Amino acid sequence: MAKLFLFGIGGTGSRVIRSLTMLLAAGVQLPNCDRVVPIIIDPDAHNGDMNRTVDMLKSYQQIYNRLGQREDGFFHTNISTLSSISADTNGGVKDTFVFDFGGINQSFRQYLSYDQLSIDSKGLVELLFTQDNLESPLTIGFRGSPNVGSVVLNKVVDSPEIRFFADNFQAGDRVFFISSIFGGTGAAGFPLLLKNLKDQNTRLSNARYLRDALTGAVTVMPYFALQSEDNSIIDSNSFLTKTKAALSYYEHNLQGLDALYYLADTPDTPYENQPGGTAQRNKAHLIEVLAALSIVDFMQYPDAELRNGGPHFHEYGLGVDTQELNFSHLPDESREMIAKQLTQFLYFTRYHKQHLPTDKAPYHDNLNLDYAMRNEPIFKELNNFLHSPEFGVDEWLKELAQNRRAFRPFDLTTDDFNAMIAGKPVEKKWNDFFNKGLSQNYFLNSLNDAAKSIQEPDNFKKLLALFDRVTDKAFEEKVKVV
Amino acid sequence: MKSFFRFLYELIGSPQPPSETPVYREVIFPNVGLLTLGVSLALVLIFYYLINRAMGVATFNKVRHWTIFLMANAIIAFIIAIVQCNSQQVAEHSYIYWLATINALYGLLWFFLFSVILRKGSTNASTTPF
Repeated sequence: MAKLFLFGIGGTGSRVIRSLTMLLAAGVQLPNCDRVVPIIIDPDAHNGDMNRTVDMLKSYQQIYNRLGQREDGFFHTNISTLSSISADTNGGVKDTFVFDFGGINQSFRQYLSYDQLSIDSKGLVELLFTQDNLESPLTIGFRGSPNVGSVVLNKVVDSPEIRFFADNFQAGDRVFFISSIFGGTGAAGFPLLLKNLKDQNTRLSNARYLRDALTGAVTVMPYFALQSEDNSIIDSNSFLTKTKAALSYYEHNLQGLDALYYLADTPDTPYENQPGGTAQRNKAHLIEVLAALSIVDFMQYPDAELRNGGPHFHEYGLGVDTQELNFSHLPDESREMIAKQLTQFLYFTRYHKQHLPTDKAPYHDNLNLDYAMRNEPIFKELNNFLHSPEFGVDEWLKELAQNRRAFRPFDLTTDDFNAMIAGKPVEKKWNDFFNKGLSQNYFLNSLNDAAKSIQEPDNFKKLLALFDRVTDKAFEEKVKVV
Repeated sequence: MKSFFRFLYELIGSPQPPSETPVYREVIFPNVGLLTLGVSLALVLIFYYLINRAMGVATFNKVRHWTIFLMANAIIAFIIAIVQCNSQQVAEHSYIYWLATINALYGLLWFFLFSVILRKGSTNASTTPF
């Protein structure tokens, strides 16, 4: 039962985990592990990006728990909270995807007990931190200040969560860090956590397993800018300077990594400048999808290859430099990883919204969907995962399409399944009158047919199995390649 | 066989005029009965197995579509009875129309029974009419 422990640090960590969860829901394979354990590390308990990622993870977990373990298909990867990997939590670890900072409801000055420090120590603190740093409330994170983060995040290493993580770490488990290099939490947290997990003198249990564990990381360099505001604490003009400083630190101080992925993009339209809190809720971005792909890529490497000649460094280049990307602009390797699965998932999502509630067909009666969709909680949860305006698949695809650079693999404005893949309409032969491509009739016929052959007493499992099979058939027969 | 169809069709009374009773019992009743059974079966097979399975049409499976076939079957059964009577050159009598009407009703019955028996084998209409 190999596990992948995924440390998502800061806002970027949450956003990348959101994209990864979407890919896993679509059925993208994550080899060499049976379970993914995301641990989101963000002191900003009200961060909008984090909270909607957590809501989505909970929704995914409920759906997975009902479906159970499978080899492939939608939602087939087990995503668990840290506490659920072992029954013995000693009551110290909450059943949540988020590291519990216990509510740091104080300023950095109070956190340091500045007033009780000696004169010399105060001098040192003032040398290292600005007045803004000292007065900054930690409730909304470190606001782009890694020097603050590197102090506060030391708390993480001595926490019950990290001890529990180490206690349950086994040979064969892997670790992956997601962070941005130009902010506060990620830039400080990644090297700090890595150093402590790989420390020769660590007090954590299973230290040898931790040291030997295959470890990867994606570090996201600047890919967005923020609107300039005179009184704002975060200035995106400093992103590059901070990146350079952090990179020069990483060059000599990242020990124990087997693979490191770098991603960056040229910023376009600046985001609204929100240092943290509920208002920090950025639209999903292509970079986050690519960062999620770096995790898939890392997991695809066999152990021997990763251990041989590492660390392995990766950068990413698009086939074409364009502001609006679809599948054809991705390199072949990336396209093969996600295009089929995302297309199938889109068909499922759209059919679920457009036709499922009103279909009158044998498969519908067979699954008792009229009753189930109105009354059974798991069907409502699936509806949430697909269509929630907060964290649903629809919203994620819409945000990717609206952001700059835009990732628009699908035309989200059409109801015609034949025209949904951008730049790759399903071909209908002019002389084949009965071939309407991917019509509702095609899906209905396939669903009715599959409903007869899939023997599954649980109507929710059967619904997912039906759409797995039917959308796979639709892709293989009508789309073929993208 | 002849006695079975004689029983079915004489539920509305004996053939009229009485002089032609043997023709009805020996020829017309069996012919009309077998043809009606055959047509009903054929229409059921077309609806459930040709349209809603082999052709993969999934949007012609509602009760209203089934009703169209049911009524078409009744009309055909009505016509079969009249054509059979005419082909045997029996005397013109209102009984012919009574016979055609009861045959239409039997057509409805056969179609319904065949539907119930065979619908499960259909892909898209296995739950039609219920």
